[in-house]
Amino acid sequence: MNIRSRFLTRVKHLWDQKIFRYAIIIHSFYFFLSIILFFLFYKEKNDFLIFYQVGDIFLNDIENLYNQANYLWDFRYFPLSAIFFIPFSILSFEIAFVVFNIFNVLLNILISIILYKVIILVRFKDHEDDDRRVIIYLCIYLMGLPHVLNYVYGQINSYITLFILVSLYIFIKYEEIKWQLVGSVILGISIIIKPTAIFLIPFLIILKYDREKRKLNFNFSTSAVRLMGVILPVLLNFILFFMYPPLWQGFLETNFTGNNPAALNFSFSISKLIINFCYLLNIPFNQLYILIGVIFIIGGIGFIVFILRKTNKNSIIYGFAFGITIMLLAYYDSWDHHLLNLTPILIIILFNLPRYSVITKSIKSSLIFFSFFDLAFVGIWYVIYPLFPFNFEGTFFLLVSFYAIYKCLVNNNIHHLKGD
Amino acid sequence: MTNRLKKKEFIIGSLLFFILIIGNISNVFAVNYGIGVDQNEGLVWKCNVCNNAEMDNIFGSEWDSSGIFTNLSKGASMKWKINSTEINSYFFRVEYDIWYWDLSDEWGIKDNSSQINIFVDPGNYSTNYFFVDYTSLAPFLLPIPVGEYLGGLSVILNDWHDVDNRVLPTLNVEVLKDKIYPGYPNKNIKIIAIYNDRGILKSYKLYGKENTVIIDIALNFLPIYVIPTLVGLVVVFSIGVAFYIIKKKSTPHSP
Repeated sequence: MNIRSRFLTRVKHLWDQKIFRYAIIIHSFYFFLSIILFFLFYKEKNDFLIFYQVGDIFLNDIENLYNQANYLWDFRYFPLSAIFFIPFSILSFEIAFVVFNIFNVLLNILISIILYKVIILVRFKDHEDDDRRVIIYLCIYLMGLPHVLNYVYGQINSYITLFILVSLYIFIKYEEIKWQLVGSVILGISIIIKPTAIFLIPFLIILKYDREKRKLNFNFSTSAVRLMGVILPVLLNFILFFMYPPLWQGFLETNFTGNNPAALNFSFSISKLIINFCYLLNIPFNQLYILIGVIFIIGGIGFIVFILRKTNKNSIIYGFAFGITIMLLAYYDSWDHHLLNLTPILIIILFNLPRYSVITKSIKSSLIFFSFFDLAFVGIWYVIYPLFPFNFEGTFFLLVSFYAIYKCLVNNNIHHLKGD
Repeated sequence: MTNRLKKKEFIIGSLLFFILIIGNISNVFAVNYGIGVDQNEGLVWKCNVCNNAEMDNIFGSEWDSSGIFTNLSKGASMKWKINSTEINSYFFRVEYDIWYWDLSDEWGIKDNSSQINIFVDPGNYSTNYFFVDYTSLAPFLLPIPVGEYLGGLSVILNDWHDVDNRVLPTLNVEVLKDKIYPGYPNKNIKIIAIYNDRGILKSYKLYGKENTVIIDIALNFLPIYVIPTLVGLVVVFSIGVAFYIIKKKSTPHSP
């Protein structure tokens, strides 16, 4: 059977399942809805406008890449990320937006395929042998409401999710050192495009405290290769910083001088909840200190728990889950569409845990909330913000996920985790 | 084979046609700005914080003797009554009566009448513009849709300003010491001005050293749906928690 007929048979098999048909129809609806909303309301107010301008400025006026007067909203990412947007900048803006979102649709198909492959690779033995349940969860990902804002704003979360999943797949599937390098380089490229995965870096280090022998086990060579692989692509930006010194200055000014007071928004990160609280009650605050404090506490707890984990082969999944959860809890702006980076990892964890594990309840409830209810609370925030400007529901379920990941790593009852 | 080719050509052709059509449709839509206040409408702002001593230090002792901050003090309110709104090709003109900041609940006779002129097209403001005519350095009224108007202003305003219209239409202003003229302001200040969807200043906060709030002014109006929604949310949340606890207690603990 050739690839084409295998593909068609597979699609037919999937299409026979009602939930898959619903998922495709709903996801297509999100795509077309985003196009309509873009042309009616969001043409001059979306994130893609920044990406589109960035590609053009990179080509024609690179020294002004961080001149924020060029943009509606600040451009904060690494300069090399602009290369990624150059092909879109060549097209007219409207066509570029549509083409970009067509790519987003294709990426979601690729994400579903790679997610399926990872799940099959790490699925715990007591799960059903067929892939019916796997397909249900893939459909939950595709039907997730965060896709709506991801498409409407022309966001790049699907690109990041794909890179994260591909690197995860490589880390799990291949143990050879060269593949560890490849996996981490892919992760590094995702950080160039958007630094969402930056908090995943500490979890690439293979460091574990052996409680019985009371000593730290550190796999230096693999950790070093992984760190080198992830940092190397990011360091390429410094060639540009060296060639164009104003870029370095602009990058620093945009990203590291944000100590001004900030207005209210519906971000569900802990940092933003604190900032909103201070804003509401006129408490003097420095948002940079708040950010550092939250990273230190949440990130510190996550990393310590990761080091104290019970032995396991697939600990990288939980490390990635920790890294993204820490990013969403700590960084100022955590929006509904950023959850698209987390939900696939939560789905993988659901299948890596025993079928009837108690912990799955927490993960499942978080997944359902993120996929179908978080967006509603964004709407509710707009109604109640004059009195109560806290979109805390997403934060609550992120903390539930964080606690569930902690339980997965340290719980004695989970014996499915294989030795390193 | 020919049929398959035709089918492919049809799909590709349709896709290209779709892209071209929407590319053209996009030129049809343009933002039409308007004014969000109505004739005879009353607007009241309340001052929640006013550090007079610090304002004296920053703007000199005359800062509250004229302009929008006349007689400003903590707990005082200011009222506008909109007399007329007029639109021509270039300007929005809003004429209003004003009752300056006062602690009394009785408004009595108006203190003054004034008018605001705003360009219909934000692009008509001169480059590096700042709201020098306003003591507050941020307008109390803007055209609607306010987010788009602020977006248009963002490329015109000077580098003291940072427009954030992603969530709530917000104008951030940071003015360094001596930037307007020597001794004015006498210290670095930051302002966050948030507008409601009718273009009316909803919240104005002026920050001084170490982000201390020196002035906090808020529109004295709460939409009717806010409290019922909040109460509903608290009730639903409480029921949810209670339900969870009851269920948890009635379920035997599993290892």
